[in-house]
Amino acid sequence: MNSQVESLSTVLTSMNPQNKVYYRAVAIIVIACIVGIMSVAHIGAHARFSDIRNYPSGDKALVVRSTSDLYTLWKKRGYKNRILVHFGNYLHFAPVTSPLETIRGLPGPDAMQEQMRAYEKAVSYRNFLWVAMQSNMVRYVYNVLPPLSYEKRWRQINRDDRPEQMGIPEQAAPRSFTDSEEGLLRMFAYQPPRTKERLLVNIDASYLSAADVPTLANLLEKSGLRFDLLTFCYSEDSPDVTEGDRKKLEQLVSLLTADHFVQMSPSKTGRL
Amino acid sequence: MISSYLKMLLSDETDDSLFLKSVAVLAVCAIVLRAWGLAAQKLSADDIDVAISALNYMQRGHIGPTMWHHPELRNILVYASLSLGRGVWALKINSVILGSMSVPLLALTSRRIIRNNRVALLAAFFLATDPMHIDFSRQAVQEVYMMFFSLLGMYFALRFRDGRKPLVLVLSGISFGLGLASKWYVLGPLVVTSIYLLYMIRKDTSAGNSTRRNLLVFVSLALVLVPFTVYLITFTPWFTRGFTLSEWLQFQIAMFHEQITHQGFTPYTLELRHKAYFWFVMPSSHPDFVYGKNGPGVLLGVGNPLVWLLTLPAIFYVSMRAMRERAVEKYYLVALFGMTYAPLALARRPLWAFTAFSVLPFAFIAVSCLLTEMTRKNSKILIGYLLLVVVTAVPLYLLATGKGFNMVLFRPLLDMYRPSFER
Repeated sequence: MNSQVESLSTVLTSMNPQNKVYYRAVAIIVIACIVGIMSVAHIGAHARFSDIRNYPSGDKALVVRSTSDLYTLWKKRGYKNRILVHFGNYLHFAPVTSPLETIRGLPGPDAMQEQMRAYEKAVSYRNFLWVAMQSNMVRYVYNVLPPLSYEKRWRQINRDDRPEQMGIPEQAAPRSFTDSEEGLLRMFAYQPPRTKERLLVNIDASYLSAADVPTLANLLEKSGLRFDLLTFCYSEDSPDVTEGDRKKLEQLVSLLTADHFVQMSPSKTGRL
Repeated sequence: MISSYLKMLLSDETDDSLFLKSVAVLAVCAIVLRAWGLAAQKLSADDIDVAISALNYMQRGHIGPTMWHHPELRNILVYASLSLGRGVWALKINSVILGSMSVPLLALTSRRIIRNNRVALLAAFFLATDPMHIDFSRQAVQEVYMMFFSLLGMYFALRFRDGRKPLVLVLSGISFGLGLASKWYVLGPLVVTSIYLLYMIRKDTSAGNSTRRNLLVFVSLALVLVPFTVYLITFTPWFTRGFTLSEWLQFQIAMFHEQITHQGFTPYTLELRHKAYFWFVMPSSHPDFVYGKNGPGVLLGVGNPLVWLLTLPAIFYVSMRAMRERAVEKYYLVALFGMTYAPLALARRPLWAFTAFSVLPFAFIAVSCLLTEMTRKNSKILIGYLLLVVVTAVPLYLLATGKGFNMVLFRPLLDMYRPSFER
């Protein structure tokens, strides 16, 4: 070891001074860039788990009546920057016009708070996922759609991007695809994601309008999803969800409880 | 001062101090033209959206509402200036400064490429008085940022070529990184400058093999790793929403997809000429609608046709000279123009006239080379031409600053830009 250090020292001492300068410069650049990249990654990691301290030791599986109640539940629990896996037939992503865009003047100092208040006032079944992203409760939505709906959604989003005008040929639907309009990241798939991160998971009754209970139960039990909160949402505020869909959701909850996939008290398995 | 500038312009003076004084004169002219009456200029929808986007990004980590497919340096700089004050100046000061300072920077960079003071000053003069560049230097959007940071990156790289001080090349990498964080079009000049430097190092037989090898590694790192890291760091506010590096890559792919398919934010923009291959063969222009207490207005940015339309002949001329003289620096200039312009000219998606700022510095240098050669024996022709450029620029300046909107003289021209649903 000593002889290796000695020979390295000899090499460095006998090195051309210009070479020493460039070696040092290369080392500084590499170290500085690695530190820069790791710092940015650390900032993201720190923000990802910033709500854990605030997380209450409530139930991990709950039934909620409406999408507005679901939004309120997430807000009460103080979730921040989460990935949400949403099983449903609809996207709930209609944007709300910012009040700042309708005023023909520069935004004031409280503009962001005013904007957020306007978004939250407008929360409904049409947009609660969009608002959840705007409020930074959710950073990424993973939409798990029933298989037939997934195919339809792929064709619709592909058409919206006007690929035929760009000379991109029409493609078969992949296993999943992303959409990042306005910088809001969403994934669409017919299978749940494989991720080690702890998630928020929501099963909306609308999923069962195009799928059956045993198939969905099987999908969930085999998914390996690790969640901090699993909700079953009856979407009573949505005119697109039928009583039949909601009854199927009740059956799903019973089946998953019987299979010990979730632990819920009897009072929580019916509608609240 | 002005007579010194004219003397430098019309002779083959090589006095450094006179050159720098002339550059200073041009810089002052550029600032005055870009700042005059700015506080009274009405705001466009883009100006307001830029302010909202800056707040959204820095306070919440969200992208948009405007230009979500472009990187985020504009949001950072606009937020910083809005934090120091309110009002139109706080919103637009970054564009005014970066637009104005592009003028002296173009002079300094041109001189390092072509090594001719007259060419450098002419190029800077064309930029200082270009109405479209003046127009966008008075708006909050980031169109003038990419030219400034491109030129700054090139300037430091050329200084490294001449002096080989490592810190200078690191500054070049940082500048190019900031340019990429303004708009991705800076990639063209970055790639060409990197290749040029690597070629010059390989050609340098005065340095030993090991020194050249170390230099090659150093240059590659300084012009790849440093710009990438700077670019990534500008996304720090976005990362405060908990994103991972792989999610960031996903987002970059989404931005790229939008870049290659973008159709504009309003249907009206597709009524405007939107193909890059028209920029230097027909007069190029871009209107922006503005609103204020006294009603609407139009800012019409028109590239000075007396200069812009000489671009392609000038590039052809410089190419011929490069081949005849085997002059590497001229090849470098042609490559800067070609590598940046070709992808834009061939693009299928709409590209509007202001995107020409990515190639305009190189166009102006080439035009200056052509004019310098053509008027070498008779400087009166150059004086006459420059007077014509100024005379043409005056009414275009009024249109670029919105002051021409209420003048009857400009009605027929402005009517050509009326949206089809209003005709």
